[in-house]
Amino acid sequence: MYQNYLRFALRNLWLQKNQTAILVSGLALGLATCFFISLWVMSELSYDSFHERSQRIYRITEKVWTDGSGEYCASAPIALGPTLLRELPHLLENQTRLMQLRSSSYTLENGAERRFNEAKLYFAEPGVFNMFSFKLKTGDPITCLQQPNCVVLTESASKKYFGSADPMGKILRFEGNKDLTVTGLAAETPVESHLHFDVLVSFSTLDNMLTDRQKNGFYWNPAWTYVLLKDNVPPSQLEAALPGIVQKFFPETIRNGTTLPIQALCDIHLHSTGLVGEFEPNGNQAYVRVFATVAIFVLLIAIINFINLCTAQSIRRMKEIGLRKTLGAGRTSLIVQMLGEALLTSFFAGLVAVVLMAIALPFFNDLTSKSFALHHFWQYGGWFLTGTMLTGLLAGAYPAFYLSGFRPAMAVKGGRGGGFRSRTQQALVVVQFAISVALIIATLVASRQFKYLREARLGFDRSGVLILPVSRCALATIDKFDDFRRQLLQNPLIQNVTALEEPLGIRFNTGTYNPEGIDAEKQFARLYVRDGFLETFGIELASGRSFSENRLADSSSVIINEAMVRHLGWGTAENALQKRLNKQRVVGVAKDFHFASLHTAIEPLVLHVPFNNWQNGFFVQYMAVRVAQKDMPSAIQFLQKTWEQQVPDRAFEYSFLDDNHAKLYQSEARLGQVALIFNVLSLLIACMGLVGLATYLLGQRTKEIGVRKVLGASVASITRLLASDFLKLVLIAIFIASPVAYYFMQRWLADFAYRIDIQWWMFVVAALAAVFVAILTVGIQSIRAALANPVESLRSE
Amino acid sequence: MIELKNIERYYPTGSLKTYVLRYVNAHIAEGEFVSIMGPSGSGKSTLLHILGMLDEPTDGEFWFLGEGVHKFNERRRTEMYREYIGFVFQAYHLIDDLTVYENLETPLLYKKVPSTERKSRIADLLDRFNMVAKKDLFPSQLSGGQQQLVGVARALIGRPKLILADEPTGNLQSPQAKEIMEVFKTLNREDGVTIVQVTHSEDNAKYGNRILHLKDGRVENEELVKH
Repeated sequence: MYQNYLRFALRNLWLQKNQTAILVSGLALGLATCFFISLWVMSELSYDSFHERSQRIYRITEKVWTDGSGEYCASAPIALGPTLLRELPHLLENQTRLMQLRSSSYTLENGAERRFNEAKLYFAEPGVFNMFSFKLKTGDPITCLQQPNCVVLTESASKKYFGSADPMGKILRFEGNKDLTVTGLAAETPVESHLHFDVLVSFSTLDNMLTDRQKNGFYWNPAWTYVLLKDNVPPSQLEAALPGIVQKFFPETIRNGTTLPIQALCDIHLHSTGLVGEFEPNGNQAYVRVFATVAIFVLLIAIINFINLCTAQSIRRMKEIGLRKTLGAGRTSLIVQMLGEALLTSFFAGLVAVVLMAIALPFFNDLTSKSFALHHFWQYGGWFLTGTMLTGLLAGAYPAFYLSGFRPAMAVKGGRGGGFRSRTQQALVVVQFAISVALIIATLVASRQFKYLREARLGFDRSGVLILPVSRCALATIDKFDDFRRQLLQNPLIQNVTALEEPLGIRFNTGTYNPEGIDAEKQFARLYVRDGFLETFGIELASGRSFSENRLADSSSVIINEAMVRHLGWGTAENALQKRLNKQRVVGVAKDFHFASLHTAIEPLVLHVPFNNWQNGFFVQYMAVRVAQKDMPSAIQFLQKTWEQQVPDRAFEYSFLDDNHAKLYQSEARLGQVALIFNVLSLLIACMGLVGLATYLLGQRTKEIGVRKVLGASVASITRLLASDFLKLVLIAIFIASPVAYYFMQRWLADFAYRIDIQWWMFVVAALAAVFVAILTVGIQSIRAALANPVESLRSE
Repeated sequence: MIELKNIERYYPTGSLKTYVLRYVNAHIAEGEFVSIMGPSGSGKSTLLHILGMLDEPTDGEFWFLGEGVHKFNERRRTEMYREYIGFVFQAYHLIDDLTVYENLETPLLYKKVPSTERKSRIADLLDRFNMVAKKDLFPSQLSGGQQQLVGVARALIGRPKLILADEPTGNLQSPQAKEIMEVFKTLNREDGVTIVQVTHSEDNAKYGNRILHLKDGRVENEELVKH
């Protein structure tokens, strides 16, 4: 019996080649899309879970907050880790710290010709290998980072410095002044890690690089601090103990505003919104949710398609079903037969989907910067198979139960009931198109928002600005820097040169201030800059003046922004001049500019100039050079030549500020692309469904079309008649989708401090797209039906 | 075998009822060959559909082999199709996607007849109707008369007690029609199969032993055929 079913099913699929192709490819596209998104979502959700003890590892963050301003930072004071371990021995088993000195990169060299700037270099404690589960290829996980001046390289980093030679025991020169011995070779860090390193230097190396105050104080917070809870200790116990630690150890000035929120290791990647001082940009839980929703919707569209086409196909087979009943077929056997056919089709679709995915995998990896491989397919193969089969069952169930319940008389009498008059089918088409239209609207809104983020007026000019890391190199002293600047400015291609603490628009630091007229200390965003800062970035002044070249004159001056004036209630920008912050005079008020990312609102900001070499060396890490855009290559060439003469100890390295910004919004840009592709796919699937459905339904009306033609109807009028049925449904779908999409996108946009307004044309574009696609697909089918010779269609009865 | 008591079938049209069958009473004994005749719209086909349990009467009682059909559920009806009833349609109604052989095999599959017996029964029938060479063809590759022969063969293959034929020769030329009617006659005479047919043709009706004349949904008169 089942053998026969299988044979008939296969033959049926073969006989209806075109329809089968639509059915299978539509579902395959849906499955592949859904599975790809699922892979991405699972990858996002699985961050850091590869650590064996991930459930017991927590990161201690620091939040210093007073009166609505302050800092929420991923790192903590250096001394905190060991202090916690000492004070809370009943809760903690171990702790590990990582840190970077205030610098974006460090120069390592193995001989002059193998000198590179390493951005992913961290000072790390041995816990990286014995508390976390990062893999060490060679070396001892306990001791490799114990002694000062030890370094562990990843394989790719080792290749850069030592080629294929064994690096163990070899020497690397650090910043031109310290020799590090290679004590370990680490495997590359997995993609699904919130921390990726190329080079790890033993934490103890820092001992003689830092002052006692830096090492033992609780004010400066540069160390990413992780603790390992003892078995069966709930995190709430640690949380309860932390306020006591703050009260006991933290300096009085910040004690009351400080909390130490803890983060479970696996939460870091998706739940770190609002934290500054992160290793690298994290994921965003909101995007994961959005994508999971999209995945479900795309699959839903594909399933609806499948249901619609299966139903349409089985309506064609109503006669067969009725006959089978008169031949003694029970309802169960009919249901089994029809479900079986649906399952078979979905199984084929699953096969095609796997092939599609295998082909599209490299593009997908490229798009998402992940590294999925074929083995992920097998890993999730069970899910995929189950999903495919469930889809088949779901899709086959409706026609199976619906049609097998028909009284045979209707079928045998040639009754063509159901058809497009079936409300269920109409409703399904509406749902399908509503989802597509909503997705189009969502994509439009999202891509506009992302474009806005990329191009928004930042309040400063970021194009044509080169950023060069300068900390702890020959340029770290004020005089050297000024010399260097003078040399650069002799070339007319170099328009302006300044230096600053962090790349503008990307990161910032905070400081504690006592503003005039307010009897409290407050945390504000702060940037140390050199004179020429406002000019280099084209930031306008609301009042007062810029920093002067005469640094002694400005050693106790600050410039604030308009947000600060508003925050402190100082009235107008003019009014704020001559007021004092920490006894430092306000000499200028800059118009608001986005010194942090556009995800957050502009906060109060203080700009300082360093007044001695120590401050300069410590706080000023980047040189910013505005070059003439008309001849960038020669400007950069000149810059490099001058650099190599003046700063021999450090490799020449630069980046464009606008590139850095692009990176900041990279995840949005990338998601925008991904969303666009998936939406095009979903619309495509919906259209395939429409084509298939139209073909069937027009097939059913062959006789009517023939009769109408014989009665003198024109091709145009028949096409209009046939297409209008479908258009009505699409219009209903648009009316349902628009308000729903509006509501959800409005909520989504609310997450952004700076955002676009949703505009009416977005809805019009989405509607037009849907109508256009529907007319195109149904129209072609209708015209073909209308053009057919009536003799043919009438003979079919 | 069949007992109809005051069978009524009507459709609501607005507040009125449109009657298709009205107070139909009939008795058909096992082994009879009954023809139903009447003008278009007299309810012939509806009556046949009711007899075949494809349609239900709105009122009245229908007894089949001593059981009340009006009490049957779908499962019981399915059993009837498997065990007792075979259909022959005017438009043949073969399953387009199945070959002649498979069309004949389908009822046996539903009856769960073992494979070897299926083969021998199908072979017998193909032989009897001279269709052995055509067994792998699809219905669309056959002429109308050949298709109807397959239709009759399919009705017979389950060895039913009752064959219901709805204008079985309506679409056929007279030589082919004659061939089909001869098959029915032989079945009735030699195998004792009860046959009820709807027909327009006096000639075809004469193959049977009794004719029910229907008009406006009522049985107008009954006529015994003299041979």
